[in-house]
Amino acid sequence: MAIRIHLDRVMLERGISLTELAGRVGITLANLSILKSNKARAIRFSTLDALCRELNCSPGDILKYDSSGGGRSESPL
Amino acid sequence: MNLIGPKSIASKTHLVLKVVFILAIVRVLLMSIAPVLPYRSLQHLSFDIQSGPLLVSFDLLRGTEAKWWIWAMELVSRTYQAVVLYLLMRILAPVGLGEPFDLKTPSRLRIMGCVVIFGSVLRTFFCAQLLKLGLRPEPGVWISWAIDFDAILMGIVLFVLAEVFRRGYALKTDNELTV
Repeated sequence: MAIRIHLDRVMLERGISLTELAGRVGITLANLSILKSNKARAIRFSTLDALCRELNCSPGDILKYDSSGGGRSESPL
Repeated sequence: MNLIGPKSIASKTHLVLKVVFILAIVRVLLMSIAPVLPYRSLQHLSFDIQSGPLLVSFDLLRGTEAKWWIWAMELVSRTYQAVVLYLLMRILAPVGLGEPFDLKTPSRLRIMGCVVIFGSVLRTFFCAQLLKLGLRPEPGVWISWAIDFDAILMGIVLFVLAEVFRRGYALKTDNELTV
């Protein structure tokens, strides 16, 4: 998948830990780790909304399209 | 009623299946050694052919080729019953743990479908061999070499279920990786 998550970079810039962000956003630490490590297959708008609110950023700061990064190519159901 | 855990219907059914499976294995073992057993009670095999139970005595058939075809037919029939029971048990085990869409369930269902179809074809072959040897059953009971379409239909149903479970597993994985 060519979509890359740059959550770690944004978190570093804001100086917020994974545990703290998970608590503020209202999702589990495990799910936030899945998102951060680029293993997630989908993200809910409500999660993205909460992340942008807590990190004071826009979706484009967290999600990037990298056409060179092939990696997993999974067709949606 | 609990949906997950040892008190769930799936877990209780799994336990029942386990007992039936052990009995099925004992039946297979007994059948495999039946021709050499000295006990007279075990020298009589009963099996169903199409329309009713047919008792065939090993004593009566001693020395004939038909005896071995009957023995092989019954052994295969009981073995495939045991295999189906084992696969059912394995399919039901994750259901009791709250994971109905297991990675291996589709392949188990496909194997079960193959076993059901292959078992019926094999039975038809054995029946045809018995007819060829001139074995005629008692009045009112008949041996048929016709293909068992019910078994083939059951096999197709199992293949369809395997595909449903495969899609279910894909959906479950997607759901788990949605944050």
